[in-house]
Amino acid sequence: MTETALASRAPDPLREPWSDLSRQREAATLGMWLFLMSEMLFFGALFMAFSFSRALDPAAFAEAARHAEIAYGAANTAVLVTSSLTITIAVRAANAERATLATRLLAATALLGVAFLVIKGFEYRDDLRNHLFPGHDFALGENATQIFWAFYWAMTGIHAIHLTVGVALVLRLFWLVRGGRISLVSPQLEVTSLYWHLVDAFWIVLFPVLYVAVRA
Amino acid sequence: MSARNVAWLGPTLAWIILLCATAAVAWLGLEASGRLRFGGALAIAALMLGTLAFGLVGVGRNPALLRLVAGAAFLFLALMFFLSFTDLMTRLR
Repeated sequence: MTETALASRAPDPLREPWSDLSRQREAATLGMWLFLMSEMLFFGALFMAFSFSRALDPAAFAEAARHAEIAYGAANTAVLVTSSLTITIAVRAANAERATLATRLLAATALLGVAFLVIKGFEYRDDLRNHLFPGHDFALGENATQIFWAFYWAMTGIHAIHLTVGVALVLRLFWLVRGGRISLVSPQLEVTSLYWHLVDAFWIVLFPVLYVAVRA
Repeated sequence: MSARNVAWLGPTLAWIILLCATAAVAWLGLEASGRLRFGGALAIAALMLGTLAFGLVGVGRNPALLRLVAGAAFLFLALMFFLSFTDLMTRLR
């Protein structure tokens, strides 16, 4: 099916109560920013609690962070920033009514998201083999090292859940755009890309903080 | 420029900066000493956030109201960190 045919089959993106698409887009984007703001405060509280605990026992945190694998963290950062590029260009391609390019880039974004989760899975497997999950057979001695690893599992786990939701949203968009079930100028594309960038932004902070900054 | 052209140069440039910054953070983690590692990693993280926000998200192109909402979130976060660490300082004394 040609790009023009796909575009002409798509339903009108304008919804009530808006009278024009630019206002609808602005309202949708503002709503998403408000949601992102609440997420920033949620993750901010986690980072604050982490910093607070680290300030109480920096030596134990430095020792604990030495066991976090930088190679996995760096690989995942590269994957995620690449996915941010693909979704940005996907939205621009959609705005330029390039349906095929937008579809391919949405698929690439979802694939990169899955790649991140697979790499994270390998990292989790290594961490579990090294007994780095807080509990009775935890490999490191001090209690504060367990606190570091409790933060590590909580923060990376919550991030992975957010990313899984992001992959599902991008796949949904891919399916809608590919089948011509959504207009290419629908605000849904922009709103989904904002969520994706937020997930990327959290990882951009998580990687230096958990893997590098507090390391011995 | 035709309406069907896709502007990809700016985002690609931002992506290259982000990849270089990722490599720099990894290098700091493996090679640098304590204080440089701590300050350097956090400074690069801030640079990466700025690059993502302005190069890929396009915060600068958004209406003033959206920039206000995003700015308010950062302000609240800064206040939260400031108050918490003020509390910590009084405890350590």
